[in-house]
Amino acid sequence: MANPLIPPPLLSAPAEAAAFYRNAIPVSYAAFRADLLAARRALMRLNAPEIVLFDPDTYAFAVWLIACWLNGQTALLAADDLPATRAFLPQPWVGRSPHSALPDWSGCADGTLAEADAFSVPAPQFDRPGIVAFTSGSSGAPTRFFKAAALLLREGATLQEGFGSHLPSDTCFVGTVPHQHMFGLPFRLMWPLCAGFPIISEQFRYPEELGRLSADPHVLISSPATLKRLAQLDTFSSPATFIEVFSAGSPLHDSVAADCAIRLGEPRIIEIYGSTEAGNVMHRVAPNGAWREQPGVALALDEQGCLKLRSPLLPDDGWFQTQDTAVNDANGWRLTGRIDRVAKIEGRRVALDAIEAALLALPEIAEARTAPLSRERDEIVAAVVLSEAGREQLQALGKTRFDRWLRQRLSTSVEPLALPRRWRYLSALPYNAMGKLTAAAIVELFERHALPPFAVTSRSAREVVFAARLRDCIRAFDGHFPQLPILAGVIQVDWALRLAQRYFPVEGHFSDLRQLRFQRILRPDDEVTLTLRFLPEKNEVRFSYASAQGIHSQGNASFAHPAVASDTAS
Amino acid sequence: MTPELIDELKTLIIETLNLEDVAVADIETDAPLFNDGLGLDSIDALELGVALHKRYGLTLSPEAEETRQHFASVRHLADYVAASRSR
Repeated sequence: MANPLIPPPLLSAPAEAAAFYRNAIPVSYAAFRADLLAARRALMRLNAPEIVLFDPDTYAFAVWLIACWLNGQTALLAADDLPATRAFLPQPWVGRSPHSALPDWSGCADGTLAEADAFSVPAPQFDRPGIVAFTSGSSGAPTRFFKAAALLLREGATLQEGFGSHLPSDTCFVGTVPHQHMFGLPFRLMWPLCAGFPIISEQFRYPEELGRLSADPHVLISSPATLKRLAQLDTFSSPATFIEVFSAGSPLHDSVAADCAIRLGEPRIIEIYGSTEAGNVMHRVAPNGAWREQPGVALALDEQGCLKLRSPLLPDDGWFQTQDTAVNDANGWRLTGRIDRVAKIEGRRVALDAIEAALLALPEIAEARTAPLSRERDEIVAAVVLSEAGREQLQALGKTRFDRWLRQRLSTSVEPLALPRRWRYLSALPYNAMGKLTAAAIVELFERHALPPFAVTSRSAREVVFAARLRDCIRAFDGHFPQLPILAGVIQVDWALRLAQRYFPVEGHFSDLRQLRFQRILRPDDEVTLTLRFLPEKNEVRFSYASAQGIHSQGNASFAHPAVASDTAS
Repeated sequence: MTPELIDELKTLIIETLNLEDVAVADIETDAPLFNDGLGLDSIDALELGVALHKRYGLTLSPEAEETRQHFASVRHLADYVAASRSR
């Protein structure tokens, strides 16, 4: 009987056939088999039932993974190689990372053995071949999740049955998503490995990189984060023939899918909904296709409106509960969000509690609450109350540098996408009358401060003119005044100062305001122009708001270095 | 490559990424844009690529290493824009 831990092409493919491409150079099955044997020996010497696997190169990752399974060992998949991840996973690290006990297998390479030995060497005493993934649980602490190797290989074979039967045998798999996450692992690695399609070893980070592919047929494993940007590149070109494109992680908008279809030469674009635990659950053809369950999958809603499911890819036949909310109507299933404190940032699950725990570990922070915000992009924002030490540090650095300093302090334990990008320093968190701290109250802190959509109408090194319809900035009128909404002078000055610092190389912080005049009130129906004029010799900016009625307000703002500036940190 | 282009790029970065409380003067010309410097992330890199395309008609190289070097700092970016812009 065939060994269920060996993807079939490893036994059957011709020695010279390409299994992977590294920097466009083929890696043959013969080389793959020899490397597997060396990696098996290297891993045996570690003599550990569990190893931590992290390697940015997909080929090296695959060699380590299969070798580990053939040895009966379990691979713990680290999501990143941050110091905090190293501290959390004390087992020996394998693969190219700063913490590695075994960066490569070259010490165990041996040309004297036949390649078939990679599979005939008996497994040591370990008997738990598989992976452990760490999912962001609601508590903030990562939850350990074991998946047997046989189940992952079955998932690869299932993907081939569902989506691969018509692919030419020389189809290359290329990905913009990492191979160690639970979309990349089955789609970028297990599927082509089980079906014998060559795999491009590098993860492509920019859509432009697809331009260096060959003219061969390709399957692209991507995400809305990349496809959204690809859709905007009107000169994009690639010699590759894209047959299928897969997207998962967050919703793929139909307009993005339609634009990508044009850029990529009309491939079939397939959106996947799945999870770490249950694998691929349902899919739809984008744009406009309805969701279809995978064969054997049953879906239902629990009393909270969350999706639960049964699947042949789950270890047992019970219902698996998700935290994703959904509705089922005449058009089929539709996903509507999440109910826990796990945010999706550009497709990546981010545990808000974990970020807050990392913040509270800093002596400068007394209280902290984070929330996801989706405007131009998804991002995390943080509202914090500083300790005495934190307030002193904020005074010393100023807000911009303090924001950046906090991000750097967090960066050893929080992955870059989850680092808060906007900060508010408050004397107290905005608890409501019921004593609850809602995500809406946190988001509100950030929306109130947003710059209105000013459009630049003319621009030179010394002068920029903007136009805006105040109707579009209606939040700026909140509470001022309910019966007679007028734009407060302090808001007019704030906008002018912030735009001045954005468009001119003014030195230092805002220090003084002179010749300030408010001549006409600004109402929500006004269409205004704001003119900023920079006087570099005085380090001053003159601003004026005007409309068809004439000048509404004007003033001179001067800037100075922090030593003499008033404190503008908010 | 001119000082005006350097300031223009700083403005473009602030505008595109909607960096609040960051002034042109806060961005150091030679500091890294990612990680330890300005602290931009992988999504910012994608957004910036699209903005450079729209403003200057640039198309990033398919070679990831070249792109990484162009994005090393504002000065590197300005050299690249000055040499490769089509508008």
